[in-house]
Amino acid sequence: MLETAETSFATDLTLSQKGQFEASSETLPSEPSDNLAGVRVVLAATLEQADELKGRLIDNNITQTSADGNISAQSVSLREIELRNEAIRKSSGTRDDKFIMLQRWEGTVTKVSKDSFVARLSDLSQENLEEEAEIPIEEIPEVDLRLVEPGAVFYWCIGYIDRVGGQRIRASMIRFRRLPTWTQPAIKKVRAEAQLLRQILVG
Amino acid sequence: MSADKLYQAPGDFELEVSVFGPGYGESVLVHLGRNRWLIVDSCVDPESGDPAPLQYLNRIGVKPNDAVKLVVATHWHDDHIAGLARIVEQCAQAEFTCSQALTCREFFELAQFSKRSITTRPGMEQFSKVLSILAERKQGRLESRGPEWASICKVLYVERDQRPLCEVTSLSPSSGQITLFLNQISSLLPAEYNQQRRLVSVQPNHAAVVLWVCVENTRVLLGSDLEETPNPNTGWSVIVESKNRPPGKASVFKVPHHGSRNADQPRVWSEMVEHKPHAVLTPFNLGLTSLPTKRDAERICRRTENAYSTARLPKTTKRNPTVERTIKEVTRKFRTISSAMGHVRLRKAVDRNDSWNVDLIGDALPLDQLSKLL
Repeated sequence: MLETAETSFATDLTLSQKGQFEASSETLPSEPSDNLAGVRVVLAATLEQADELKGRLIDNNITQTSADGNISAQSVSLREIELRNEAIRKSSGTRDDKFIMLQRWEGTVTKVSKDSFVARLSDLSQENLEEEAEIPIEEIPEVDLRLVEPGAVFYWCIGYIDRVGGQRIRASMIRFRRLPTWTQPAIKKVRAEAQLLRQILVG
Repeated sequence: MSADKLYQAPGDFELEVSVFGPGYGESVLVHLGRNRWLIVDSCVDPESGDPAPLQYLNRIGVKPNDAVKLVVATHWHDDHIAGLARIVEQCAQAEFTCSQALTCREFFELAQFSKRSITTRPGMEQFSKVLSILAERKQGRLESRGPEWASICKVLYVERDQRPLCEVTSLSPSSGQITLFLNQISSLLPAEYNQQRRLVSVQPNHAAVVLWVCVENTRVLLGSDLEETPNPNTGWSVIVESKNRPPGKASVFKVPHHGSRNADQPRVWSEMVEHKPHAVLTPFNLGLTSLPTKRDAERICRRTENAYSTARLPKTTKRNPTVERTIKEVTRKFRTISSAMGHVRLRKAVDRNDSWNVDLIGDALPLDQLSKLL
């Protein structure tokens, strides 16, 4: 788990074989690399952030493992990540699998039962289109199971993966967001704001 | 009716009740006479993205800033407050009212948690925006009183000098309902190390504000989402039993909680509304069980032939065949929530002994027709 800056996001990061991290290009979905052989690293939630923030740059403090195995923390922007990724790809001369997205939703879990959950879905390609689905738990990767709770947020992508070797695979991927946790200082701040507001409006 | 006639503003002595509902969402707009308007809750037109009451007022040439006298948020659930902040912003002269249950520390904290959470949805975020707007106004304008806090048998707005005379009274929440609400909401507050999950509306709804509108001798009962409970100190029973509630019977009834069985109290129909009233409901297409169910619709249609729904069943969105195939394979159930906006409008001259005129606009339809489709 990476600790990121104040308001933001805990990110799951899987390091590639080379011991470096890379941000995948936008064509790759958010998946741990061991589920897609040959695919390099995904910086899942960071890319999702980029989508949400619609091109705005955010600063993350990201832990980086250098080629010699040293771990250091530094501040980088998303744009830098993308540029680095591009440079790595060009220098290594390798090609990546490509994901062709056909549909994407953002979902919020509203109810969880033993073997399924119900979620409200916002179609990210159409404004004001709200849908609802009951999804079996078995569609969720094991690493995300603990996150399936009412109020949890996830992305659901449907599309094709065009493999480097020429295969095309139809894919449905559900990935839960690693949401930041409330810290004691943040809770205190919220309570103070609420108290002030209540004092003004209620007395 | 031509569009010109359809979108004419009501006359000075014409009472209008407009109920908007796009299949997920509800808003009621009432003309109290002489261009005085009441907005109850807010929903958004899925096509335009605009709050339905503001869109309609603009269409009939009414300026919300002056004309809207009272904005009531009956409760904090998503489907009743979409676009509410814009309404409060634009209706700068209106008094804002919500349930007294929301004066508790816990609710204010919840609103602020939602504001700070990165995952907030338009629901509670609207409320926290509204509270901020009201606080700014109160700090900026000494004469600003708001907000008002609705409770059982409290007069929220009254016109006693200029006809048509009118009065808007809240019939809930009772102290029992407020206590239930407090217990419910406390469990939603996050603790240290909890993830910043989105707030999910909890049921049943204990704190909803039911409104009684009286213009001259015509009465309207707006049932919000209040549900009945076995406890006689909460739900609809406490309202029916209340000795202080305004007298008379309503000829228009906004059926509570989308016509659900849980919100049905037969004594409301026998003691608070006229025989065969005009009954309007907004459907609710969430939770994998739509409301009203077929049985709900049939039950209401047995009580009155003048029953209407603001929306039809939602149409399934057509997508790429690969996507549709995958949806079928992955999910057990999948459906669209939002429908096109529907609008049931009732108008009646209060200075004459006229009956109600009903216009079904957009996707609105008689409830017995909806019942056949369910």
